[in-house]
Amino acid sequence: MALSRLTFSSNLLLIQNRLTSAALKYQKAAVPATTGLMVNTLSDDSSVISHLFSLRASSLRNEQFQRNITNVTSKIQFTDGQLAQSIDVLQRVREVTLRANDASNSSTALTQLNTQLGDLKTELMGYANAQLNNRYVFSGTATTTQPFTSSSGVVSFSSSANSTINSEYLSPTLTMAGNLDGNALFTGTSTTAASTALLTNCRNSNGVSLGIAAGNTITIAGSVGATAVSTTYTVTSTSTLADLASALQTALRAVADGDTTETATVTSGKIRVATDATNAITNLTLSISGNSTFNTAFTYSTTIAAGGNTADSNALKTAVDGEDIFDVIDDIVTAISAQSPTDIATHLARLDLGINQLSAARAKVGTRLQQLEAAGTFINQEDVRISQDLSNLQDAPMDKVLSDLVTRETALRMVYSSSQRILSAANMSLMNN
Amino acid sequence: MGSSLTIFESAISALGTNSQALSVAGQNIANVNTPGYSRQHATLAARAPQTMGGLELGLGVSVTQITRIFDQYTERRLRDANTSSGGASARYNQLASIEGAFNELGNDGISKYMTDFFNSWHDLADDPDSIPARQNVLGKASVLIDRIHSLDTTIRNARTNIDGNIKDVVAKINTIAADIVTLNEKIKTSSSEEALTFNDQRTQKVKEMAQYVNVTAFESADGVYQVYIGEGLQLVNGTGRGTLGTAPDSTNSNLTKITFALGSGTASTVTSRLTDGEIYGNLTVRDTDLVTYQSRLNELAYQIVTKVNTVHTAGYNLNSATSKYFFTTMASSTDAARDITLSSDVSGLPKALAAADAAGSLPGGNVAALAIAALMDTTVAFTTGNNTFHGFHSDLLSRVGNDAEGAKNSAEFSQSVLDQIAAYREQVSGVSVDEEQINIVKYQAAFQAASKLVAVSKEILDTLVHLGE
Repeated sequence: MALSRLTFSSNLLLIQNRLTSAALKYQKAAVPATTGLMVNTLSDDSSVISHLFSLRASSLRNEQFQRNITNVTSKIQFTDGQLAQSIDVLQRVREVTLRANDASNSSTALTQLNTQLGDLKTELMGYANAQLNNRYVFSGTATTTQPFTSSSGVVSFSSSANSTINSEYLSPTLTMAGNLDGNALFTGTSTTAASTALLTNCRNSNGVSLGIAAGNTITIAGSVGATAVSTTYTVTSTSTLADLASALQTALRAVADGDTTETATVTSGKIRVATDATNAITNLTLSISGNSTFNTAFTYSTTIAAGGNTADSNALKTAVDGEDIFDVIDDIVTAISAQSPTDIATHLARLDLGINQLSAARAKVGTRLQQLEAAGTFINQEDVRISQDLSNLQDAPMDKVLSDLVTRETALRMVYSSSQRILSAANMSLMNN
Repeated sequence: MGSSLTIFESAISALGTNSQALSVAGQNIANVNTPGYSRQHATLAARAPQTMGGLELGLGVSVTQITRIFDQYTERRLRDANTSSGGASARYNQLASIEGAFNELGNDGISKYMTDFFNSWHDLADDPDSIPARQNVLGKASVLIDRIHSLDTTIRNARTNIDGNIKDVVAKINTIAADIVTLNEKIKTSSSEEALTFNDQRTQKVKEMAQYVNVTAFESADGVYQVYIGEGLQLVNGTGRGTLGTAPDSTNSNLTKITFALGSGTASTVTSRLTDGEIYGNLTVRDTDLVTYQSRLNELAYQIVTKVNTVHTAGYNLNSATSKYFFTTMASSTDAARDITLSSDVSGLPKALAAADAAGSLPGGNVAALAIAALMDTTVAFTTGNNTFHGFHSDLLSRVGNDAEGAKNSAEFSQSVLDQIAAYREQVSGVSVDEEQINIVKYQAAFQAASKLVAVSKEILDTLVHLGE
C-alpha cells in the first residue's frame, strides 16, 4: 500500500505497530532463555505435544518396570538362596546315608545317624518354609500360610497353600514369575499341574515307575453297592491322570444304583474316589494285564464307605516334578533302621532325583535372573533413548536461544531509536518552525 | 467602470470565506487526535457574477460546502476488519486462559497422575496383601480424581465466565445502538455542518459495535443509518431500534442464549445468527471448544471408570469378596469428569481392593492387580478411534495447544490487517497537521489581502463621497 499522505495519526499507528511487534518477539525469545525449554506452553509447538507426553509416559512407565525388575530379582535371588541351602542339606543327607550304609555300624551309631537325618529334615523344612518380608515364598499365593507342616513326623504340603505362580510385568508385553511352586520343588507334585501328568510318567508312592505304556488297557473293576463295575480304558501317549480319573468316574456313575454322584478327581497328584451317601464302593481295582507294579499300586482294598473318600496312601502318585524329598528322608530313616542296603540304595537314587529336582529349579532361576538382567539393561537403554528424544524435543539449544535473544533485543532497541527520530521529525512541523 | 460597491462586496465575501476556511482548518487541527474524525474540507467557489454595463463583474467567493473526506469503502473494510479482529482476539484470549489450565508441561497433570495410578497397581501386584501398597493405590486414585475434578471445574467456570462476558457485550451493543439512534435523530434535524460531526460520531459508533458483532450499515436517503447485525437482524431502523437480550438456555446447561426483539415485538433466539465479532468468538469458545474439551475429559474419565471396574469386579479382595466396584459406576460419559469418585466398596478400605482373580489365590494372588496395571497400555475404543488412555489424553492436550496456537495466529493476522486498514484510513481521512498549517497560511494570506481590499474600497468610497467638496 503506497503512502500518499502521511498524517500524524498514521505515523503513530505505524510506530506503535512496530514497537509492539518487536517487543512481543523479544518477549517470546526471552522465555526459552529463562526456562531452558523450547516448549513451555501447549501452543508453543502443538505438533510435538502428543509425542512429548507419550515419551514422558513411557519414561514413567519404565521407572515402574525397573522397580518391578528389582522386586522380582530380589524375590528370585532369595528363593535361589533357599534352594541352594536345601541342596546343601540334601548333600549332607546323602553323606549321612552313605555312612549309615555300612554293615559295621552299631545300632547306637545307626540311631545317631537317623537323629542327624531328622535334624537335617527339620532344617530342610525351615528352608521350605522360608519367609521374605513376612511372606512365605513357597506357598504360592497363600503367602500367610505356612506351606509345609509336620504331623506325626510326616511333612506334607498344606492344603491351604497352593502352587499358583505370581507374575509381574517387566515391560508392556513381558511378564516373569516372581515365585516358584514349592509343592513341586519339595514334594514332586503340583496342585495345578497334577491333573495334566501323563500316565506314562506315573510312579507309585515309593517313586517307582508303574510301567504304564501307550496301548495298555486298564481294566476298571469293583462294586458300587451291590452292582458290579467292569469297564476298560485304553492308554495313549497323551493320556493324563485326569483322563483316567474321568474314565473311572464315568464307570462308577454308569452303575445303575439310582444316582450319578460318585466322583473320581485328581487332588494333590493323586486320584481320589468318593461315593455318594447311599452306596459304598468295594474292591475297586485298576489293573493292567501282566503289570503287577501298577496292579499293586492301584487297588483300593479298603472299602470306601458311603459318603467317604479314599485315603492318600491308596492314591496314585504322579511323576510330574519328581520326588517328595521329605518322604525320601523318611524312607531312608526306615531303611537304615531296618538295615536294608537294598532299600537304602533305592532311596539314595530317589534322593539324587530330589537333588536334581532342586538343581533344575536353580538352573531355571539362573535363566530368569539372566532374563531379568537383560530386561533391566534394555529398560536402561530405552531410558537413554527417551531422555535423548525428550531433550531434542523440548530442551532449548542455549547458544541459539541466547543469540536469538540478543538479536531481538538489538532489533527492539533499533525500533525504539528509529521511533524516537520519527516522532522528533513529526514534531518538526510548520507549527514549531 | 465597475461599481466600488462590488469591490467592497468581493472583499467582504473574501473575508468571510477565508475566515470560514480558516475555521475548517482550525477544526481539523483541534480534532487531530479525535478517534474516528474525518478531516473536513471547505470547497470555495466564485460567486455568481453581476452584469453591469455589458460586463460581468464578480462578486467574490463563497464556501459552497464543507465536506467530510470519507471513503465509504475503506470504512466498510475497517469495520469488517474490526469484527474479524474482535472475534479472533476474543477467542484467543479465552483459549490462552484455558490453555494454562491444561498445561501439563510441568511435573503434574492428569497424564502423570494417571501413570502414577496404574503404576500403583504394579506395586500392589508385587505385594498383593500389603496394606501400605493398597493404601498407595487408593491415594493415587484420589489424586487422579481430584485433578480430573479440578480440570472439569475449570472448564465449567470458564464457560460461566464467558457467559458473563457475553451478557456484557450484549449490553454494550444495545447501548451503542441507542447512541446511533440518538445520532440519527440529530443528523435529521441538524445543519449540514453539525451533521458532519454527528456523522463522524455515528461512523465511530458503528465501528465500535463492529468489534462486538458483524455489522452492516446503510445510509438511507434522509441521512439516517439502518444498522443490521449478524444475519439480517435490524438493530437500528432510522430512529427506532431492536433490542438484543439474554436468557437462560435450558438446552445448554442454562447458559445464556441471545434473543432479539424488534421494537416491542416478541423476542426470538438468535444466538446462531451472530456469526462474527467478539460475541461470536466468545460463543465459539463456550459452545464448541470448551464443550469438546469437556466431552473428551468426560470420555477419558468414563473409560477409566469402566475399564478398571470391569476388572475389579471380577477380582477378589482380602475379605474374599468379589463383585466390588473400584470407582462409583456410571451409566454414560455425561458429566463423568465431575462425578468420578471412589466407590463406597473401597473408599477408605484398603483390604477391599481386589488384587486376586480367584478366592483360592488369596491373599497373595495378583492377577487382577496385574490386569488393572496393564490397562495403561491397553487400547480402548474412544469416539476418536482406538487409543490408550495416555494417547487419548495427549491428543486432547495437543488439540488444546493447536486451537490456542491457531487462535493466536488468527488474532495476530487479523490485528495486522486491522492496523493496515486503520493506517490507510488515516491516510485518507486523517488530519495532516502540516497540510492544515499550509491551509492556515493560505487562508490567512487571503484574509489579509481581503482586509487590505476592504481598506482600499473604503478609501475609494470615501473619495467618491467627498468628490463634490
